[in-house]
Amino acid sequence: MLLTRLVVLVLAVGSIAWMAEKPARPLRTQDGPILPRRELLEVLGAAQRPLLADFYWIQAIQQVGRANTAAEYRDVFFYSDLATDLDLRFRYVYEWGAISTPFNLGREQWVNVDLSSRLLTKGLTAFPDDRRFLFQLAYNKMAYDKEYKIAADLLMRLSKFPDTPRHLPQLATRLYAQAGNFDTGLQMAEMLLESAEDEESRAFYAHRIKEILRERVLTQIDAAITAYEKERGARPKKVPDLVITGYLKQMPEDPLEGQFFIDRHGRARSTSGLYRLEMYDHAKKQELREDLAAGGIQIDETEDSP
Amino acid sequence: MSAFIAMAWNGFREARRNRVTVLVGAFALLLLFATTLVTEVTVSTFDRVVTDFGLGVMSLLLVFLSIYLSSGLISREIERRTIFLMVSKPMSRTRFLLARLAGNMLTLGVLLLAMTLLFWVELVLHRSPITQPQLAALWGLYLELFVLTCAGFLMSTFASQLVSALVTTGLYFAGHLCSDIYNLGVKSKVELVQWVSKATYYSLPNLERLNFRPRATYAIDVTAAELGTATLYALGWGVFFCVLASIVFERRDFR
Repeated sequence: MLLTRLVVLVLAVGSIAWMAEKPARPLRTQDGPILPRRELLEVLGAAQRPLLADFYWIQAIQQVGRANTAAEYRDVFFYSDLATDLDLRFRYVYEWGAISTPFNLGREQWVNVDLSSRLLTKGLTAFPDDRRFLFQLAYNKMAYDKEYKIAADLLMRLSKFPDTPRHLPQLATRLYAQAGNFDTGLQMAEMLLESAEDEESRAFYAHRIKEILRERVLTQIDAAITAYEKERGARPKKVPDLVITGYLKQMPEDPLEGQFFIDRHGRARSTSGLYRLEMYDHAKKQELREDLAAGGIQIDETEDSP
Repeated sequence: MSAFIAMAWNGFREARRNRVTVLVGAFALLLLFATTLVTEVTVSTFDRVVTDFGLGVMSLLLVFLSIYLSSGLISREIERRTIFLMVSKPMSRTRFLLARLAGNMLTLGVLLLAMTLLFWVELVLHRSPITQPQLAALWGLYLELFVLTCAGFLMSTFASQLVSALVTTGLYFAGHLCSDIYNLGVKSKVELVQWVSKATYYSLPNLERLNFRPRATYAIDVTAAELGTATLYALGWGVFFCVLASIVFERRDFR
C-alpha cells in the first residue's frame, strides 16, 4: 500500500517537473497587451489605487526589459497609460514611459512617437508647468513628427519660465520659420528683441528677424522654381530667369545683403548664409557638405544683374 | 470591569489560536519581506514603492482578517451553543458584545503593530524616511478596521457567518466608492437621482475619509484636524453599528 502511494507520488512529482516551463509572456493582441479595464480596477482596487498603480508601473519597467521589437516597446505605453490612469499624479511614469516607448527601426526611422507624445500630453494635464514634459513633447514634435508650429509654441511656453536657457526662444523662432509661420516667427523675434536685456541677445534677435525675412523670400523663390519646373519641364538655372519669365515679379532682395541662387537640388539659397532657417539633422548636414564639395552651392557671377 | 477585560483578553487568545489569524499574520510578514524583491525591479521610485506595498499589504490582509473574525464571532458562538454559557452569566449582553469587540480590536491592533515594526525595519534598511503621512495612514487603517469590525459584529448578531462576511465585504467596497456615487449622482439632471445618490452616500461610511495611503505615497502631511475629524467620523460609525448590534442582540431569543 505504501509502495503504491510512493509510486503515485513520484509519478505526480515527475509529471509536474516534466510539464513545468518558464512563465509565459503576457497575453497580447495586435493592438497591445491584454490589460484589465481601468474602470474595473478602479472599482475593485478603490482602496488600493497607489498599490495598483505601482504594480502596473513595475510591469512597464519589466516590459522594457523584455522588449525587442517596435510592437513590444509599444506595450510600454499601455502599461504606463494604465498606471497613470490609476494615479494621475504619478509623474515619473509619464516621463519614463514617454522616453522608453519610441523605437528606432534603423536609419533614424522612429515609430511609437505618437504614443510617447500622448503620454506627455496626458502628463501636462496633470502637471501643466512641468518643464521636462514640455521640452520632451517639443522635442517629439520637432524631431519626429515634424510639427514645427506646435514645437515652437511649446518652446515659447517653456521659455517663459525663469532660468530657462536663452537658446529656447531662439530655437522657437527658427521653428516658426520652418513651419511657414513667418508672421508668428517675426512677432516673437520682435517681442524678444524688445525684451532682450543684453547687447548680445539684441544683436541675435535683430539678425534673426532678417533671417526670417530672408527665409520668407527663399520660400517664395522655391515656389516659383517649382511652378517653373512644372510648366516648362526644366529647372531654372538662375534666379533672374524666374524674373524674366514672370514667375517672380521683381528681383528679390536679401535683407542680409547676400545674393540668391539656385543650388544643384533646385532649392533657393543665399550667399549671406548657407544654412536656411530650418532644422538640420545629421543627414541634412551631410548633404550640405556634399553639395559644397561638389560645387552645387556657389555664387553665380551673373546673379548681380536682375 | 475585570470581567470585561477577561473576556476581551479571552477573545484575543481565541483569535490568536485561530489558524486563520496565524496564517494571515505569517503571510503578511512574508509579503512585507517580499517588498524587498519589488524594489529590485523598479527604478527611481523606491520610497514610493516600499511605502505603497507595505501599507497596501497590511491593509488588504488586515481588512480580510477583520471581516473574517468579526463576521464569525457571534454567529459561531450561536452555532456552537456556547452563547448559552455567556447569556446565563450575570452580565449584560451588550457588555459581552463590547468585550468581544475589544478582543477583536486588540488582535487586529497587535497584528498591525507587528506589521508596522517590520515595515519600519524595511524602511530603515532601504534608507527610506518614516514620514508623518505613513503614521496617519496606519492610524486611518486601524480606524477602518474598527468600522468594518463593528459592521461585521452587527451582521453577525442576526445573520450567518457567510452572509455577514459578504455584506461586510460589500460595505468595504461601497465605503471606498460612495464618493463616486455622490459625484456621479449630482451630475444628473434628474432631481430624484441626485437625491438618491446623496442619500446613498450619507447612509454609507465613507471609508476614503480614513484612507491616508495616497497621502503617504506622496508624503503629503495629514493635518491634526483631518486626523481628528476622521477619528470622530469612524468612532461615530462604529458606535452606531455597536448600538444597533446591541439592540438586536439584547432582543434575540436563543431558544
